Amino acid sequence: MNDPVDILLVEDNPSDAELTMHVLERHNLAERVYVVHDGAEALDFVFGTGDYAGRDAANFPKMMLLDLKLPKIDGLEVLRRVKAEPRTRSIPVVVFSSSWEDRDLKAAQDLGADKYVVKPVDFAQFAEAVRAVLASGQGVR
Amino acid sequence: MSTDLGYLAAIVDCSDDAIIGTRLDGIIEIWNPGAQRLYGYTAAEAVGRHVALLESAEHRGEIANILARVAQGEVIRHYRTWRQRKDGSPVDVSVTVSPIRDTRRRVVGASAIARDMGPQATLENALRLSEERYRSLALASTQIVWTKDERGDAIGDWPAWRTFTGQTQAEIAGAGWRDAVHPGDRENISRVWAHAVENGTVYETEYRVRRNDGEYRQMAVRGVPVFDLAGQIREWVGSCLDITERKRVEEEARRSQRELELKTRFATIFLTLSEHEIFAAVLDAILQHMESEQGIFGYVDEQGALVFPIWTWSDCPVPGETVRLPRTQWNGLWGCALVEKRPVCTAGPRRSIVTPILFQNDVIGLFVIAGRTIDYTEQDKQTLERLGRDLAPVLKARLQRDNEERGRQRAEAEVRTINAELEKRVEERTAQLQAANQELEAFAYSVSHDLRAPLRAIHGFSRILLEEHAPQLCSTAQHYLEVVRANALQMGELIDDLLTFSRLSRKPLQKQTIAASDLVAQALAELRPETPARAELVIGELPACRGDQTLLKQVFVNLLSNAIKYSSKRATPRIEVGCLPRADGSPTYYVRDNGVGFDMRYVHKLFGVFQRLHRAEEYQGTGIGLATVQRIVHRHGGRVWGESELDHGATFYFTLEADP
Repeated sequence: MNDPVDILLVEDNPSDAELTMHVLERHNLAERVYVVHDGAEALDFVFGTGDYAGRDAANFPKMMLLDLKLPKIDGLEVLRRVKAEPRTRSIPVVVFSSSWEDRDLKAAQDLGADKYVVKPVDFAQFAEAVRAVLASGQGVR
Repeated sequence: MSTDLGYLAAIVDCSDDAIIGTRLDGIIEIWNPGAQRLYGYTAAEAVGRHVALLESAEHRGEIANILARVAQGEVIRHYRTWRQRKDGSPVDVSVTVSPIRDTRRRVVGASAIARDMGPQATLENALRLSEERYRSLALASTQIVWTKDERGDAIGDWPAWRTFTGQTQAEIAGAGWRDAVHPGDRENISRVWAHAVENGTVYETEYRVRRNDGEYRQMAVRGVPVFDLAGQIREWVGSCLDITERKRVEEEARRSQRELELKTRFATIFLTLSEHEIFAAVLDAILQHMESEQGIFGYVDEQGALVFPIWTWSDCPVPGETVRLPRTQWNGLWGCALVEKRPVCTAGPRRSIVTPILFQNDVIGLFVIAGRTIDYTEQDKQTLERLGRDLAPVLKARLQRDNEERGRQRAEAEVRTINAELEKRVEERTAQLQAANQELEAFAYSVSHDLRAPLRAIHGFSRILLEEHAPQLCSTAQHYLEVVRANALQMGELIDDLLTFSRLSRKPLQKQTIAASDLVAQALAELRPETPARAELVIGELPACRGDQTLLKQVFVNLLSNAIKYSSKRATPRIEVGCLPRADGSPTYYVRDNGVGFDMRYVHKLFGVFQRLHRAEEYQGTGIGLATVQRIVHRHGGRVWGESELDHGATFYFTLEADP
């Protein structure tokens, strides 16, 4: 649980999670991916609270892949809290949504999302985008 | 001022006086027949000219001065001056000038009521003549001459007195003549006589003498002492003159004068006061004229009920300000006056006169006066009848105007009620539509997220199977997986198109003026990847239009996309964009191709959602492009239609709301 995590995947749909993991695996990016299944769990993971109380809260993921439509706490609220907290503000967040709705796109941008990707995506392109964000060094060390 | 012209006309036409209405700058707007009689100009000659027209040379500037005072709200009463007639002759007038105010009480003009002093002068002349006659008669033989001793007893024969009174000489003798004098005047005679005797001065008085027909006549009496040689009064000689006629003329002149003043006051009241003030002011004027304390003045309304807008009957308090008496309650004195259409008078402590106001033999109002210290006379009744006749046409005009005003207000109130109902219905409908819209939006949002998730799984896993597990699959299985994947993709497109269509319908229109040629250029740039290089594009002159930029671009994209698609199999695809000559000011744009066209028998299906006239294998598409075009054009208030012949190309036309 205290292993360093590069990518936090927040996804409630098991099929989507599996497909995403598959793509990341194929491109050798899956080793340090951690999957959580709702917004509350994602926040607990990031801030070391709840079930993740023992986790080293200083050890932030290098990036988040965030679905918008999530149980308990929705993706936009997770994004807002992560970007509102000075410690976590610099974690790059890729919003990974099934919606082309203007209002979702705009809300995500306003809240400081670093990238907005609509599912489904071209597997290779998606992997490349993730690699680029990781490589950009924006992540918290 | 002109809004009240009809009403004013009724007031001014029926007046004997000259009534002139002017604007504050002195331009004449109202000129009644009385003014024509007095000054000689017809209304056609006077209206529109400056009122200084009437000034004579020696009174130059006087009218401007009066108008300036009236503009300040002042009323100039009974101003005696000379004016000049059309024929140049001078005329002696008494003028009352009042401000005319609009509904906000601002002075907007002046009303001048001018009375010809000519008839007045005639009365004055009559008085003068009478006096002259009196003086000359004193010297004439018809003079009643008398002689009395110092005690006042008759001396000798009084033939003229005998003739006048019918008394015999014996009856006159001594103090007998006093029997012909009115008993009420005898005491006064004794007093005046004693005074004259004591001082030896002229004896002068007036008393009533019973004429031979029994009627008491008013006499002016004058006597002088005749002295003897010793300086003692020997006897008195004197004369009596019947001045009854002179008194009557005097009284008539006074009455006439007062009634003229009252008529002027009525005209001023109706010309210058507002509806609420009129009844009180008229009643006030009548009560003052009749020296009475109490009165009421009412009118008969449209329903035939007698209405009293004000009530000053002190010993009969009533609730509210206005009293209504339906025709069924017309009884007693008032009922008698109203039904019999004549004044009714009662005497005694509760004395009163009830006078109906008649217009063309219809009862239109009533006034009652009461509370005078002495009984009302036949003459008072006649006076009130005259006042009623004077008031009738003016009151009638006023009531008619007020009725029309009430009718207008009722109509306005009805319109307001209807409007309010309409607004309420529109509000309800709008609320319903908003609710429906919100539901639709929530539905679309849900569709866009949830419907696509399973599709992604179908598409993603079939792709993984095909890419990574192909060796384990036979070619038939691979083909089936390919079909599954293609269908998942197709369904994704359908969902996307449906969402776009729904979004376009819900998005609020942001209208602006747009260069249509720019929209076409943008649309063609977007469609570049699917446009064959050999295609011939003809862009005609496109006038600007008003509409939502994003939505109208979508219209051109969809129409051009269709044109490119359905002409793509031609050797030389030809696509033309243009605009028909503007017949009614609204541009009709069109997009034409030389493609496969469509069968006009199915033209009604063109614009339906998911309607396709070609098989999917032949031409790709979800069948939502034209439905979207129609939705956008309709939202702009325009019309879209298509024309084609199978295999000979198609043309799609659309219009937008014309510029306002």
